[in-house]
Amino acid sequence: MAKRKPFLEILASCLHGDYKFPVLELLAFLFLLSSLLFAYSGREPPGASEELVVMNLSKSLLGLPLFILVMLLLKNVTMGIGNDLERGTIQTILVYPLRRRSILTAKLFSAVVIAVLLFLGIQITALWVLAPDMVFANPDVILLTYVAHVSPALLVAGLTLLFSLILRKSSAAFVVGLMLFFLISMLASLVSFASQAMGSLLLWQLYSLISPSEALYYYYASLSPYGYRFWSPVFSEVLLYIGASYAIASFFFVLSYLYFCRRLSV
Amino acid sequence: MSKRWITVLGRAGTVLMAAGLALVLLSMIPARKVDQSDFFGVAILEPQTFIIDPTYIFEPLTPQQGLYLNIRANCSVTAYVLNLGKENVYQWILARFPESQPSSALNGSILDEFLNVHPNSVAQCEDAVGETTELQHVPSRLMNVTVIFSNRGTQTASVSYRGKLLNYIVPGERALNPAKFAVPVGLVLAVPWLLSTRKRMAAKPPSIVVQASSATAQKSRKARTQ
Repeated sequence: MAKRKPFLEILASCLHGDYKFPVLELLAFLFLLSSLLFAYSGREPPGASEELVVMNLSKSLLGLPLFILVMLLLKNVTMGIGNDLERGTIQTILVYPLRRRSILTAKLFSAVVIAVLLFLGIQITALWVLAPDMVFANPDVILLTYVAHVSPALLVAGLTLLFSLILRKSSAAFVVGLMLFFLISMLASLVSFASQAMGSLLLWQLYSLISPSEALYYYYASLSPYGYRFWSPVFSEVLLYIGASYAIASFFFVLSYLYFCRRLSV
Repeated sequence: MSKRWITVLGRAGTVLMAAGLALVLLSMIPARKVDQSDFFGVAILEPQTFIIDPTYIFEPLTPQQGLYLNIRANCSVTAYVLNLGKENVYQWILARFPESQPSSALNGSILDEFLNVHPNSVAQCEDAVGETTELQHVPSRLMNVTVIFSNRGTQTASVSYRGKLLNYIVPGERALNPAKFAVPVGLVLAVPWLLSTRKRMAAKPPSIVVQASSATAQKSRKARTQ
């Protein structure tokens, strides 16, 4: 109980820094507007499974908002934590009667958890506005689609956090994070081309460890009679890729915690 | 209520308002006609008969597409929009009434029986009486549609119809309904926070620079008056 107050003090100050008025409001507005503007519930060929239709609809809502989410995560992680290190304000924060891991938890809760919750809340609201019956009939498909698509963003956020702790330069860490995100996005096309050229699934399987959304797409596509047959992963395999991608992202967050708690000298 | 709770609820309110405004903005974007989706025709319906789907919609409608129908009839005619494919309706009729020809006008009792067996299949039903009647249907999921015109009256009806498919970013009503809730609730939540922020700003002493500049301004005003 005694430790809760300083934790909440730091959390409140982080929230104030990360989401100054009207940042949160503009984000909500942009997330909803861009989600629905780019939504496309296109006509699928006859016989397409409803899961594939729902997944493609959810995917169409993700494009620009996911990019905005990544920008927000990078900005929060690098400007929130990286700036504290760069300017030395971390020394003031460390004076609080709290363990270092609690301080980092408060900062990450504000920087990552709130941003992801806002993103998911707005996205699911947008889906519900657009196709209410589809959302109620296929909550599992929607949940899996979002879980699979958010994991690369979290991986980038984890890596950027580690960079900003090591480099102690917020702008450099931001640029590295941005480049990483672009790299992961571009890898999809490269892997698709290379694996078809080589006739091997290995590259797809490796890529799915960091971005499991492709595996999920091929799984739902394989349920349809006209399904894309190059790769037909089974459901347990898809779950394994999703789990692995979160394990990799968590690994970088754990490394950041360890570095912040044990190695970081201020 | 503590200041922190007022802030949390106030910010939640402003977020709700922002989301609501985005929905209002989207609802104002008009629908666009799907290319080459126009259809029109005329049908003569004897008393107690109906015809199936004079339209040419073969693919299922998506939640971003709507069917618009403009119906003109000389007497009371009922238009049904069913959430079933035309082939499903044909199959059912041929299975139950093998002698009938679903492509021509059928006896009204067949429709009554069909609707009794499929009570949830009616997505929309509209009575077109005399002058022009407009009917618009936007499904909330991927859905096949079949249009049926039924004459339940005692005199022969002449029906002329004109229709098209529309593409929406978000169907207006679907976006406006949550906005009607989000904006007022957000406003109620945000007002205490906005008032407390305003009070705090008003109570804040002016900065040194402002004080200094106002002192200089007073001095120069005095000098000018002297």
